Amino acid sequence: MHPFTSLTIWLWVCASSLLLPLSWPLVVLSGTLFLALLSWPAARYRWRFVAWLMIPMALGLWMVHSGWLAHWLTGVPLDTRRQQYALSLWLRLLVIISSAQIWLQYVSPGRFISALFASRLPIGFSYLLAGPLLLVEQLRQQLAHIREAQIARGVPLDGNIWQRFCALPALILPLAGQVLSELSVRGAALDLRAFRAVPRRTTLNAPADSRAQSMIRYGLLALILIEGGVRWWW
Amino acid sequence: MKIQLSSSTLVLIVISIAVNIIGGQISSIIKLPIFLDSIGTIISALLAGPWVALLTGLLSNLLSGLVSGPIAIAFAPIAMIIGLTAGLLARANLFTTLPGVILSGVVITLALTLIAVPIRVYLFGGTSGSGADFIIAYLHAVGEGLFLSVSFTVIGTNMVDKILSAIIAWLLIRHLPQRTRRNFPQIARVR
Repeated sequence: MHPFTSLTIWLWVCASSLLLPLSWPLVVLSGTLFLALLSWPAARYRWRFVAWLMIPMALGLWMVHSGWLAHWLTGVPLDTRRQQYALSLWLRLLVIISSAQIWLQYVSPGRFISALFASRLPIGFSYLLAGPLLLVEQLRQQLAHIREAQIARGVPLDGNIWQRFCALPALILPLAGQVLSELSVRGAALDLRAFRAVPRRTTLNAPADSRAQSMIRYGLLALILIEGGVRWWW
Repeated sequence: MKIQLSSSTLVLIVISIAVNIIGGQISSIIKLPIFLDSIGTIISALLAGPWVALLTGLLSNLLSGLVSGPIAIAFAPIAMIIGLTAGLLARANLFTTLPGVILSGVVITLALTLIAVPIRVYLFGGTSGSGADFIIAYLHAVGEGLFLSVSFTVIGTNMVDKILSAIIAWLLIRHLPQRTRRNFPQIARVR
């Protein structure tokens, strides 16, 4: 499946979950997606990210909206009117986060970059979307080298919070300074390669697309608008 | 009207987005309770003005959402307002002295609070899944409105982060090579 098609399906699932009231379909959808994440071996490790986000969120929503805290602290009668709202919000977030993790596992950044460059988007815009994904990996490696070098110099990156705040410039200034000093060279390299001289470039190994998938994408986007319109109307 | 960004500006946006993403990772590597995901946006604001910085903020959060999860996408308007505000403050010559830079960090925090609070309240029920939820819950329980409770925590969690981000971006631009600065006629006065 083309990355844009799976992205549109994810958007449709998210939009539909936002429009569902607190009911069995919402409970089943959220549970199914989380179970799907757990049952896909390649994506299973991502459950930790979902749990790491959703468990504190559940605690926060409970504290703010359950009414118990106000009841305990001030003695006012227990007000449980917001509990349903909090539960439906949590289930919707579970749908969005779980399905996002499935999509992220399904579409690697490399495939997404290829799809962007092969798309009908202006080449400059495609570069803006794909360039950072390529650059971040380089910066991550440089950061690892800088971190090792600073630890060797005795910079207290594992010290107390004040020491860690003081050590922050030792990490970020060399990293960002170096990449910014390359700015004019990278800009000149784009011009030398006649970047944007032609509106579209041929992409090697472009993800396979078809007219049917294109129609599905437009159809799902239209469906999102229709669902939103129906919900707004009622 | 067709707006075309120069190649240098395109590269600046790409680098700024990457710096934003890596800044968040640095913060988690050395376990600091701040975000550090706006340094690149402020660099864009100083070098190329408010509109380029606004675009940088938007794309930063869209791409973060695509790489790590969709929560960042919901906060894209905040990243945009950070870029816009920083760019306007830079044009007002506030990034010429350290006190001005610190003041800019404060103004950026107040501006983003106006956008962040409705997003946090309407999309996430006022919670963030962090320790700040205890403060929100306490303030809300003792009778403060949810908007005001969230506002206090948004200001509290962002103030140090944005001041620090503004100082780091300012230091980086001050030490930028002259050959790089020449590519940006819109560059703000930084000293």
